[in-house]
Amino acid sequence: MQEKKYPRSRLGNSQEIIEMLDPLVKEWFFTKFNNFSESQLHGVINIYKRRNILISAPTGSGKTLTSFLSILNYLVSLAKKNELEEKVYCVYSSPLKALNSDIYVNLIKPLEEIKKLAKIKNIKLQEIRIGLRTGDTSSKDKAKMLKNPPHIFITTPEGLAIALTSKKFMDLFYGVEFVIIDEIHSLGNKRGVYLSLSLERLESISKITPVRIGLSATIAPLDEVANFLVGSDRECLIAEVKNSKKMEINVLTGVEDLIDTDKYNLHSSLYTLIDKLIQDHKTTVIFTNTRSATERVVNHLKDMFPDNYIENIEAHHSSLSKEHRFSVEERLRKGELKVVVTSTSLELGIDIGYIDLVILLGSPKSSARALQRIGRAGHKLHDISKGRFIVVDRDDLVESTILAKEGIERKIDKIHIPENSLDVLSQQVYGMAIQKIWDIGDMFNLIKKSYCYKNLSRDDFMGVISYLAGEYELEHRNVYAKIWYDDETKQIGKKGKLARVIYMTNIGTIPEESFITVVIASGERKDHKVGVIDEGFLEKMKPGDVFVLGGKKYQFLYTRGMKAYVRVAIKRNPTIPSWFSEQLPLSFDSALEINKFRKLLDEKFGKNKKEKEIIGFIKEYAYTGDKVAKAIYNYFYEQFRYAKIPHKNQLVVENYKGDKNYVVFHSLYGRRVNDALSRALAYLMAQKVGRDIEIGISDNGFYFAGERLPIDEAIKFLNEKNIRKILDEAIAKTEVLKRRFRHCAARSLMILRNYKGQTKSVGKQQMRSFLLMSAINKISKDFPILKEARREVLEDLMDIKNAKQVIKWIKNKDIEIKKINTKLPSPFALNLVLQGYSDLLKVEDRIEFLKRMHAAVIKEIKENEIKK
Amino acid sequence: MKLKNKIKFLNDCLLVGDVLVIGDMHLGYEEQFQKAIFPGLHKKQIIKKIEGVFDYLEKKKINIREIVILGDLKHDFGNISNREWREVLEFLDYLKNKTYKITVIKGNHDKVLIPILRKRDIELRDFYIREGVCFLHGDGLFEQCLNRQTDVLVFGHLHPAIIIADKYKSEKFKCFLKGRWKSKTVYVLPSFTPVSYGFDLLDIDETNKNKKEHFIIENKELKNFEVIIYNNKDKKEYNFGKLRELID
Repeated sequence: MQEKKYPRSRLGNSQEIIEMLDPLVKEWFFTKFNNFSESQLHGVINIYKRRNILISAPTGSGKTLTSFLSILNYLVSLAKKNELEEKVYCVYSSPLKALNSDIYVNLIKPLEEIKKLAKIKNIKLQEIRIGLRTGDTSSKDKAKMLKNPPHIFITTPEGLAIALTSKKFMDLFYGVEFVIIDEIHSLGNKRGVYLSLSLERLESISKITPVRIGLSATIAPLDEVANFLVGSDRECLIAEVKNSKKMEINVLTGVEDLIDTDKYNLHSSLYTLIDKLIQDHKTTVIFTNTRSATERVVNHLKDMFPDNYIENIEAHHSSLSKEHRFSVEERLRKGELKVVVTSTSLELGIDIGYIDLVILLGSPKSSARALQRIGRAGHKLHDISKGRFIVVDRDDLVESTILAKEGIERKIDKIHIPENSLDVLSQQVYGMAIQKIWDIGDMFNLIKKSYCYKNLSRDDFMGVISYLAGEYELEHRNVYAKIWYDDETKQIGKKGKLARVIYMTNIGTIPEESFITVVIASGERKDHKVGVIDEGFLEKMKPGDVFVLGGKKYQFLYTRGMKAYVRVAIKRNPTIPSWFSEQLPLSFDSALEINKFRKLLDEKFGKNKKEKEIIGFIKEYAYTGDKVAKAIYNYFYEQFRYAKIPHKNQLVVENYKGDKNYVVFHSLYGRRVNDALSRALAYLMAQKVGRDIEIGISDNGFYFAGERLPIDEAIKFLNEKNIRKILDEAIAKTEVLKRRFRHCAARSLMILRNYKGQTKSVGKQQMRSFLLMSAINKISKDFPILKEARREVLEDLMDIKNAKQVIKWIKNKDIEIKKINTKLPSPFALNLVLQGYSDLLKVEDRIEFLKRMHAAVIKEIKENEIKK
Repeated sequence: MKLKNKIKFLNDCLLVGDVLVIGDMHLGYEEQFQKAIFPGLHKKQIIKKIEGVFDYLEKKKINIREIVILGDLKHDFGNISNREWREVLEFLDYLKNKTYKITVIKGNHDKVLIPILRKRDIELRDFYIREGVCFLHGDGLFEQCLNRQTDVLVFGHLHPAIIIADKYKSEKFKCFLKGRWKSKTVYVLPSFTPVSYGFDLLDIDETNKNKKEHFIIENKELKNFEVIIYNNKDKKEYNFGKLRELID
């Protein structure tokens, strides 16, 4: 499919803007600023001329004021003439409540300053009102808002959807003129899908076609994001403000040698390095990727350097309470903290004051994310952003080095926007039916205008209508019809008196999860916390099951409240795969960059280039220092000498017999692609041999372990066309599909989290969805919500699209499979094999297994008797 | 023929002549430990399982004269609800229909079982001896059980189960234990409850230390018992040899 291309905006000149501005606003602006920023030169005039625009600019470049300057100017000019109407002129949506509060304050302040200025000049101004509505807004404030409608309405995607379904609010939306979507780069998920439909609904209500303004940090591909912003058949300009902010990016290791240093020294030198960096700077933010690592880093720093860290260090991640997070942000702004350790939660644009160093502990897994994080340092446009990657192992070293290179060269990986999500669609169709009676054709056309549904088939749409109209006969499962559809008149409307209440209290797309602390039950380390697992993971465990957490094996004993009690189980094999992990996956684009780098090095080794020359090349190619270049050289040299270097055109498949029979695929395409590839292959093999196969998956590859592994046949059989069907079958009985189904069932309101004032626990939701799923499996495999759960697993969780791409490369020989045999896992395979397995594909029947094991035991007993 | 020579395994139950012995059932387990989402589900599953047993007996034309329940019929009687009362009664009525006599052995969980059993004229005993076979729960021992006339002891309480694993696969199975103890032949039955497999015997040394409810036979002696898994599909028993060998 041809991607739509949009024109780039022309850089306007200051004079144009100055002429456009109302004298009052102009005066205010120049008391605050000397000049217009680049993004203002792009945006202000275009918004004034009511053109849709996507503004992609780095943090601190004045994006927010760009989007609001024309609007404020417009409202002030109306207020002066006493022409301000009682309606919402502008809707502003951002995904973060915290950011909303920021914006609120940042708008109120300029308005008051302008008001003051007007007073001095004796100019009469109507009051310009700003309204904030999030989940935290009190009903008193909401009522106030209806009485005195805000001219600028600040909200979240969920808040907007609620407003769109509330009768009184909708009346205020009759003439919306501007819509601002902030942080659009963080909407490559179902929240974004949801918002895209809300925008279409808003546009259909408003008699004026609102101008759409999208604000984004550095993101790619811009045309796709612009298309997402405006939907089908609308014009849009793209303003790409290049990041002129100076960046100083370096990769550091705590030790010279990441492999031969023992764990203790590695650990202590790592923290010594981190401490030194923190002490050399004023305020540091450390990103760790995971919540558990965040806590660990804080504790280690406090333990190792008790004098340096007392009141001046804090953790910030999504599992912490809202109060705690707010207070950390507040103390950061006031400059009271020396260092904050965070998982990913400080990535988005909330104001965190002056940061002079960002440390990335462990690869950020994508170049966009790396830039976003490093951009948090030196928030002002002309400050230097200082970022330090600190690597923890050799794979991390290579990955971070390439990500740093991409960051320095400002290469951005592509965003993934889900399409045709039928669960989100169900929720929105229900919302629309509550709003009014619709003609089905009109409804379908409106939905198709959204970028995320431009390819929606009539069949899928009608499937959703059938589900909502109760045609799948799930009433005895307590899934009641939510709408009526009349095939004669082609009309759709809501069903049930409680429709609006049910809708409002169950709205949203973010699945509910909760976390369980894992605690040692007895012995020396009694009550010692070993980590957290999510509730979904716990649900699958039976007492006695063995699972892996933080690289160690534990046996689950029992739960009490929010704690799971375990004992250390060193001898046992895990009985539960650690499928649910909060690790971020490596982006496909960055993975390809690493493969390219691997190829360049392989060529140099192949040509017997000297060590000095190769190290020189690495330094130049990846902008690294001696130490890092030498460490990379050593890693590749070992792989080259011992085995083969896998790269862009060479997929190394390594056979090795350890305690088990392993086949390692060095397919560095990121976990999402590897997940799809490995499961499809494992499923094909398991079907053939009828035995269980163990699968281990990481960003750098995957491995299988099993008695018989006919990989050649599986690779030969797998192709771009059949992979979807194979994966559909392979995931049919997995826990991950069950869990995703629960999320989809909640989003499509099959399972109501809140009903008549009662809240359903995650556990109950899971149980309900489990029963629903088995009931649905009997009715139809094509039930829209089940179909959506499968799509979500294959397209959003895994990456079937790029998996197909890889298969294509293999089939047309762009990638050649090279098989090797090793006695020990090759250096590149080591981390993957050590990490342990991610899933066990179970095909062998319990009873068959019992019989086979019994035969083996009998044989052993007989042999022992003969010996005696 | 003496009863001790007429002992057969049958889907987690033991058939002793015309006596059907059923292990710990823990009715109401779900109310206590799992979130009670589907009231009555556990009872339904137990009935389904026991129906399977009776269907088989009928096919083989075996008449059951007596049913012995080896204790822990009801999981716990903290606050027993009306519904739970009804459930236990319904269950007993179901069994009464299938046999002439029911004997219930007192388990460590059966603290207030007497009123329920009185309603149906069923006796609750600490132990029960019939024709040289002694049935008891397993949390304690009684002098009479060890007298000369007794050849066989049948226990519940332990919920034996075992994890069978090779390099690639690991599965848990309910199992019987059979061995000699205090000059008697001993059988330990797996729990009958379908909702959990039971206590993994491979953990016997680790877990029993912390376990409050102790089993009357000591670990070192239990390890000499044979582990037997009964496969309900082909109605065959699979003897895995001595527990000691499996642990090592």
